[in-house]
Amino acid sequence: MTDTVTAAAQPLAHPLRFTGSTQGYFRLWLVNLLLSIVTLGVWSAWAKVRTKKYFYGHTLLAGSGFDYDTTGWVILKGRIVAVVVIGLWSVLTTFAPLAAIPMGIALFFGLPWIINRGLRFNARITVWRNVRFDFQGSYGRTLLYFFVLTIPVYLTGLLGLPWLQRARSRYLTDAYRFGTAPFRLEADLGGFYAAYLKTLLAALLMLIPAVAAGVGLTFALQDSALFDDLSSDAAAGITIVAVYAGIFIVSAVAVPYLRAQLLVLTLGGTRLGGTSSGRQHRFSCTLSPQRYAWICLSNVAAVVVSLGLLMPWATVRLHRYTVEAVTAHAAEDLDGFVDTQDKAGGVISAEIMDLEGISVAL
Amino acid sequence: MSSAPKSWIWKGSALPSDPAPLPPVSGTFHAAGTSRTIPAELTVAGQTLILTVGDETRPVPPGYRVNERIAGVARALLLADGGRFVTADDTGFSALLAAVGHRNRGSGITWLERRGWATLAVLTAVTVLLMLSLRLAIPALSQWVARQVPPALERQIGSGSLTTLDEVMFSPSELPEPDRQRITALFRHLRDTAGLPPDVSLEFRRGNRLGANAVALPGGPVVLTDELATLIPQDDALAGVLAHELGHLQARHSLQQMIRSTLWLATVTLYIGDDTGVSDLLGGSAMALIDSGYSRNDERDADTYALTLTARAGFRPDGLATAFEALKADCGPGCDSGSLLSSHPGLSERIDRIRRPDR
Repeated sequence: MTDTVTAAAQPLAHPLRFTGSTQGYFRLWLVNLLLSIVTLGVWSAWAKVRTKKYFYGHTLLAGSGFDYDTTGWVILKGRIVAVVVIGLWSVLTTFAPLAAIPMGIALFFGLPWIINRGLRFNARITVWRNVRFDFQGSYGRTLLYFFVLTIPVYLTGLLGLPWLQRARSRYLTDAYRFGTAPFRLEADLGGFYAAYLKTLLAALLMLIPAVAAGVGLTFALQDSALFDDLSSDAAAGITIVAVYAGIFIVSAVAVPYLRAQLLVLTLGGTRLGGTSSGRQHRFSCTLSPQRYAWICLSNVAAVVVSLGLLMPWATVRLHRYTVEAVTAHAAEDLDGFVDTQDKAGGVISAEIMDLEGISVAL
Repeated sequence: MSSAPKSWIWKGSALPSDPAPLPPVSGTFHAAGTSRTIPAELTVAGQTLILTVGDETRPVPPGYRVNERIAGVARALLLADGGRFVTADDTGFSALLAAVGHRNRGSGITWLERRGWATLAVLTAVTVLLMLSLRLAIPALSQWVARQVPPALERQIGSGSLTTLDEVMFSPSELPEPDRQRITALFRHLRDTAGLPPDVSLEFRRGNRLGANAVALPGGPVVLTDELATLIPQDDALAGVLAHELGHLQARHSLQQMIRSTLWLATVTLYIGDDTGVSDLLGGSAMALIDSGYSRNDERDADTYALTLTARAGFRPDGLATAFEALKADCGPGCDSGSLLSSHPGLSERIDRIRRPDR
C-alpha cells in the first residue's frame, strides 16, 4: 500500500499509442465500401461501427484500447429514423414554406436537446477498461453557448469568438465524465485569443499570394491577343476563381491550423478528477499546428489526385499524428474508475447530428 | 455472413475428435463497471469456457457476448454480469470460441480483409460497381423514380421553387400587357401542340441576377424573364426558347436532376466517408462535376425537342438558333463557356447543332 502512495507522488506519463496500419484500414475500408454498394447503402451502418471500432480499438492508453460499443443494428435504426425526420423536414420546406417557419422555430429549440442526446450517446458507447464515458450537458447551457450567444458574438464583429470558444470548450469538458469521474477545463482566455489571432495572420499571409496570382492572371489575360476585348464578365470570372482559391486555402489550411491549436489548449487544460488522493489526472498535447495543417492539406491533395484511393492512408496518417501527440499524466494508478450503470439512449439524435454534419468538437 | 461453420478456419483444433487440449488464452479482467485490471486466463473444458481471474477459477455462465472481430483489435468476452475479459491473442480466443461453438462475429469479413488476392478482387469489384452505378444505375434509377412521382406532387415542388425564387431572385415583371398577352397566346399554342396539360402556365418575372433566361420548374410553370423577352422580340425565336423549356417539362428533367443529385450525394458520401473534412470540401464540387455531363445531355435533348415542336406548331424551326445568337451577341465573347464543367453546352455548339444538323 505504501508503494502505491510513493509511486503516485510523481505523475506517471502514459503516452497514447496508435497500433493501426494503413494496410489494415485500407482493407477494412475497401470491404466496407463493397458491402455498402452491394447492399445499396444499408451496410454503411455496420461500416461505421467497424471503422470506429478499428480506430478506437487501435488507440491504446496504458496498454488498453478503447471500444466503440454498439452494433450496426443500433446505428441503422437510428439512421432510418434520422433520415425520415430530415426527409420530412425537407419535404415540408419544399411544399409548404410557410409551415416551415413554426417548424424552424421548433427545430431551433429542439436542436440543443438533440445535440445533448447525441453527445451522450457517443460518450456512453465509448469504453475504456470496462468504464464508459458520459456526457451530462444541460439543455439551457447548450442553447446558450451554441445558439443564443452566437448572436452577440457576431454583433461584436467576431471579437468575442475566442471567448465563446473557450466558454463552449469549458462547458463541454465540464459536462463529460469518465465513469463517475468528472472532467474539468482550466484554460486561460489569452491562449484562445492568441490562437485565433495567429490563425487570422496565417490566413492573411496565405491570401496575399492568392490575390496576387489572381490579379496577375487578369493582367496576363488582358495583354494576350486572344482576349483582346476582355469583357467584364471574364474579369469577374477570374475574380471568382481567385476568391474560391482564397476560400479553399482558408478551409484547407486555416481551419485545421486553428483546430490543432484549440486541441493543444483544451487538452493541456483538461483535468480528470475522482481520484482517491484528491489529486487530478492531467493531459498534454504536443501537436504542432503547422504540421497538423500541412497533414490536412496534403491529405486533401492526395485524396483528390488518387481519386479517393488514398483516403484510408490519409485518415490513418492524421489519426496517428493526433493520437500520438497526446499524453495522459496519471496522478495515481488507473484502477479506481467506476462506471455509472445507465443505458445509452439517443442513437437517433447522434445520427441526426451525423447526417446533418453537426459537429460539436471539444 | 459468419453463419458458415466455424470449424473451417480452425479445422485443426475444432474437430470434436481432436483430443488435444487448447492452450489457455491469457489476458486481463475488469469486473462490471471498474477499470481495475486483474490478470486472467480463459480456457475451455468440454463445451464450457472457463475463466480464471486472479486465483479464482469458474465456468463462464451463459448469456455472454463476444466483441466483433476486427483486424488487430483486442478481443473481449463480455460476461452477463458486466465483467469483461480482454485479450490480444485473437487466434487463441477464436479457437476457444470455435471449440464451444460460439459465433465468432466478424470472421467472414476479417477473412475477406486478410487475403491479398481478396483485396485485389474487392478493389476491382468496387471500381466496376462504382463506375456502373455512376454511369448507368443512378441515371436510370432517377428516371424511374421521376416517372413514379405523381404530377400533382411535381407541381407542388414547382410552385414551391417559384416561391423561393420570387424571394431570393425575381421581382415582378415590368413587361407591357400587350407583349405578355402575345407571348402567353404563343405559349398556349405550343403547350397544346405538345399535348401538355392546360395547368402548365407561363409566368413573367424580372430576372435580375439571372438576366435574360427562361426556366422550367418541375411540373410547370415556365418562367420567362423580362430581359429575355426584350432581347428577342421575334415570335419564332421566343417560340424556340419556350419549346425548349416545354421539352424539359415533357421529359421531367428538373425532377430527374433533383433525384440524381440526391443519389450522387449519397454515393459520394459513401465513398469518401465522414471521418475527415475532405467530403465537406469536395462533396459539392464533385457532385456538380459528375452531374454536369447529364445536365448537358438534358439540354441537347430539349433543343432537339424544341426543333420538332416549333415545326409542328408552324414556327420557323431555326427560331431557337436565332435566340441563341442574340444571347451570344448580348453577353460578349466571354460567356460562351461550353466546358466540361458547365451545366449547359456552349452556345456556339448549340447553334451549330440547329443550323447544321447533318454534322
